[in-house]
Amino acid sequence: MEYLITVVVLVYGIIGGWFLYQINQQKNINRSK
Amino acid sequence: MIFHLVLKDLKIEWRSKEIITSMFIFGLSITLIFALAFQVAPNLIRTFAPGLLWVVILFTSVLGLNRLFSLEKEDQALWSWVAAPVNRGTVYIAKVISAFIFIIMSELLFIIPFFIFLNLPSNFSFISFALILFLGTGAIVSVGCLISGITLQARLRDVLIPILLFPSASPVAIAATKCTGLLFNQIPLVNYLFWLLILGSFFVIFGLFGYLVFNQIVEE
Amino acid sequence: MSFFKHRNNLIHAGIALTLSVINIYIIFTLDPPNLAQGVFGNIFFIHVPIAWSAFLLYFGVMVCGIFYLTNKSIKWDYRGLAFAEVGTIFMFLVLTTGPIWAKPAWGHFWPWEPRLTTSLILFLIFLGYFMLREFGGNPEQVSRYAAVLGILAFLDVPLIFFSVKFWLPEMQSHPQVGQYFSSANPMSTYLIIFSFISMIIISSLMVRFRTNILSMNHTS
Repeated sequence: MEYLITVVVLVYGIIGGWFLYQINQQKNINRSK
Repeated sequence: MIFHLVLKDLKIEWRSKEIITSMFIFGLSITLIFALAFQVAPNLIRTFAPGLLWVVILFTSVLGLNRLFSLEKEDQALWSWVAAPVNRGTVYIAKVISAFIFIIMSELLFIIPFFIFLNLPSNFSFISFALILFLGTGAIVSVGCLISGITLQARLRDVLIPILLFPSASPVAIAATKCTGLLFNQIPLVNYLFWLLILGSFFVIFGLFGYLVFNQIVEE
Repeated sequence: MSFFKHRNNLIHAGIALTLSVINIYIIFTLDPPNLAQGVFGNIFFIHVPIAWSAFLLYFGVMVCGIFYLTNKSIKWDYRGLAFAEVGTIFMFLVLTTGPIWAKPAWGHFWPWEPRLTTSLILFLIFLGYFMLREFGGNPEQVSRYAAVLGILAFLDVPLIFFSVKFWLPEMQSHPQVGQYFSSANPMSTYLIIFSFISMIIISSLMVRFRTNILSMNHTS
C-alpha cells in the first residue's frame, strides 16, 4: 500500500511542482518586461 | 566526387598517420586495462571477450570520429564544405567511407594483440568474423558521422560525441556482441542472421537519414 | 499568469485537474487485477499510461524536428524543446515507478525487459539532447542540430526495442501486460484507457504551457 502512495505522490507531485515552477518563471518574465 | 573526397582524407592521413596510430595505441591501452582488470578471474575472460572486443571498438571509434571531423574544423576548413558546389549528402557518404576505412584498419591492427593478450582461441571462421566486423563498424560509423556532424560547433564536442553515440549505438553493441559470442562458440552463421540483419538495417537507416539531412547540418 | 488568462487554457487545465482527481480516486479504490500480489498492483495503471505518453511525447519531438527542418519557423523549435522537456520528465517518472513496482512484484529492482530498457536508453539519449542544447554553440545552428538529434533518437527506437527483446531468451515474454488485459475484470481495460487519456491531456497542457513560456522568453 505504501508503494502505491509513494508512486502517486511522486508522479502527481512532480507534475504539480513543475506547474508551480513554470508559473513562477512566467511571473519573473512578466516582471522583467 | 565521393572518390575524390575520400582520397583527400586518405592522403591527409597518409602524411601524418595520426588517426590510425592514436586509435591503435588507445585500443592497445584499453586491452591492457582489461587484462589487468580480469586478473581476479582469468578464465572468465573467454566468456566476456566478445563484449570486451566491442567495448574497445566503440571507444576507439569515438576517438577516430572526433579526430576525423576536427580536421575539417581546423584553419576554417569548414568553408570549403559550404562553398563547394557539391551535395552535402555526398560529403556525408564520403566521411562515412573514410571513417570506415580508418576504423577497420586500426581494428585489424589491435585485434591481433587483443587475441594474444587475452589468450583467446582462434578456431573460428575468419570470413564470418570479418563480416561481423565490417557490418558492426559500418553501423557505428553511420550514426557516428551523423553525431560528429551535429556536435561540430559545440564547445564540449569531445565529451558530447561519446555521450550521444553510446546510447544511440546500443543496438550495435547488443547485436555485434551476440554475433561475436556465437561465432566464438563455433555456431554456424545461419543462426544469427537476425542480428546481422539488425546491424545492416542500422547502417541503411542512418546512412539514408544522414544523406538526406546533412544538407541542413552544414548550412551557415 | 498570462497563459491561464485565456479561456481555452483554463478549460484545458480544469479538465486535466478533474481527470487527475478521478484517476487517483479510482487507483486507490479499485481492486488490483492480480489480488494475490497485493494492493500495489495498481501502480501498473500509472506506470504503463505514463510510459505510453512518454513515447508519444518523444514522437512529438521527432515530428517537430521534421517540421522545423522543412519549415524553418522558430515556433517548431520551441514546440520540439517543450516536447523534449515534458517527455524527459515523463520518462524519468517511468524509470522511477518501474523499479518501485518491480521490487514488491518480483523482488528485484530492475528487470532487464525490453520496454524498460528502451526507456532507459531513450532517456540517456535525451540527456545528451539537453547537453547539446546547452553547449552546442550558435543558437540557430543548435536548433537545427537538436531537430536532427530528435529525429535520430526516435528512428533508433524500433532498433533498440527489437535488439533488447531478443537479447536474452528469458526476458522475451514479460507476462504482465497481457495478463492484465485478459483478466476477467473489464475495469482494467477501461482504467488503463482512462488513465492514458488523462495523461495525454495533462502532458498536452504541459507542452502548450511550456511552448508559451519559451516563445515569451525569447521574444522579450
